[in-house]
Amino acid sequence: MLFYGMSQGSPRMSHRVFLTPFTDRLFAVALPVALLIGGWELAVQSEAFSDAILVPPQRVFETFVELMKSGELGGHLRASLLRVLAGFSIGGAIGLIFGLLLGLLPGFERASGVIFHALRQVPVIAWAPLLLIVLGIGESFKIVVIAYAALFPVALNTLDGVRNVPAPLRDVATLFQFSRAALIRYVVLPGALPSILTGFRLALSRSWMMVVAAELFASSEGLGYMMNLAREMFQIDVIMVGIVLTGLIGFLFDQLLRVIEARFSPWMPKP
Amino acid sequence: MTKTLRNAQGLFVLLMLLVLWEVSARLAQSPFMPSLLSVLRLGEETLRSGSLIENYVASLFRVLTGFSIGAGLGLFIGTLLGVFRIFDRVAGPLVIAFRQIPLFGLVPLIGLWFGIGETAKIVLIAIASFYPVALNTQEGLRGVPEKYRDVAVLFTFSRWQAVRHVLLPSALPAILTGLKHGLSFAWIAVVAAELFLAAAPGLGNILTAGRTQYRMDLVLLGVFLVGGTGYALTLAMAFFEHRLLRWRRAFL
Repeated sequence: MLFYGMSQGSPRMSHRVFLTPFTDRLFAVALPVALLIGGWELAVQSEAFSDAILVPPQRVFETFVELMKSGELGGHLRASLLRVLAGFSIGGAIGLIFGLLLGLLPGFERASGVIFHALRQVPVIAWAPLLLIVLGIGESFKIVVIAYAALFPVALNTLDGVRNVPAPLRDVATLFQFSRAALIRYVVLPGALPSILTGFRLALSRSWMMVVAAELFASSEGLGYMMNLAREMFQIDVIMVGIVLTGLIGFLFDQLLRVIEARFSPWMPKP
Repeated sequence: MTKTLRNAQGLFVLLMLLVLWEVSARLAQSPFMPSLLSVLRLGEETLRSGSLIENYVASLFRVLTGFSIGAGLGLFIGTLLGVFRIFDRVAGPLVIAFRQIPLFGLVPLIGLWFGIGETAKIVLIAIASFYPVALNTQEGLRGVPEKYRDVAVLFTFSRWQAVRHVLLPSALPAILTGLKHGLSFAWIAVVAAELFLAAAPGLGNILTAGRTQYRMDLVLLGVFLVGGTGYALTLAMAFFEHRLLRWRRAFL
């Protein structure tokens, strides 16, 4: 076999080493994890890095347990999750409405399309200083930043989905002499749903990224705050706990939304 | 309705909003609501004093350095992931796992490891541009049609020859998409790096200065510059992509 790829499932792909799908999967996960932990441990053992730069994986775990027991981590976790939930809900709802208006009302799109696409060019993070002046460093600043980050992916994907409803589906609606309301209700919205859900998935991951950023700017609670404080106090283990947790939660969010996507658009090809 | 006319309508609404902004700002007379013209005037002033150019060039230089490093590494790792099955099995899941970490979550760690100077900023930008390039390269290489691979086999290409003459050209559109995303992520990262890591010349510096001095006009100037440059970079990349893929359209 000269190359691999594309041939997945075709007879060319050989499982010489990994016999059953189960062991195959087990190895697929266990091998990289073992390698990562092993490499990490080895780097620590080599003593090439000082204790302030690299701590053994087991210390990170101990710190995690400790922070969990004291309830400190729970508090930060709760604060960040509540923030992302609030910001994502608000931004997602506004984005959905805005996207639908853009997609369904040509007049609205003509009027606000230019502004929408211009605003889209500015990274959310660049608005943060402005919002800090206007809103101060309180909770509202964080929620607004997160909501703003969630708005654009949802609006854009909704617009895309509404626009790209397959023509044959629209033809069916014409054939059935659907009213405009019925067209939207029974053809456009279901047709756009997969794209809308993709928008929500991207939005949640943006929101999660921005919650950390917002907490780095100014806060007294949350995972971003915990990590920033740890940086000032040179607690590398606490930072590592934060990194692993934010990564894990980001991953779980993504998976959750993928499950929802698959559940509500079962006719779409699986990625 | 023609496209130009449609755009004209949008531009008209935008213009009306800008006029509305100007008028209301003049009526309000509040330092928190600078008029558009005052922002532009500030831009002109800083341009003349040279401070704008200094900050601008610093950011641009930073983003290009970080992006070159990140995209270069991404191209390399992505190619390894796409060509060598073993490498994909071992390192693929790790790349996916590390990607889950929100970019800004890495700021504290990078701060501890690399200090808060120039190195740390470059590292953050490089990481931001690495993932889109690596993953798109891998995907592009995987998606090379079987018949192209067969051609390579037929020509008894060595693996390197196959990569060079068959796989990479075929994966080029995906790679360019990765580079485009990588550059836009790099631009976000440069702003974040300048905001979160130590102050140094850069557009983030303009934003921070405006924020700490409560000068809305300065902040808005920064926002305009960041948005405009980000857009210009995207356009430049799209142009580059268009040029590079010209042979493809002629061919297909």
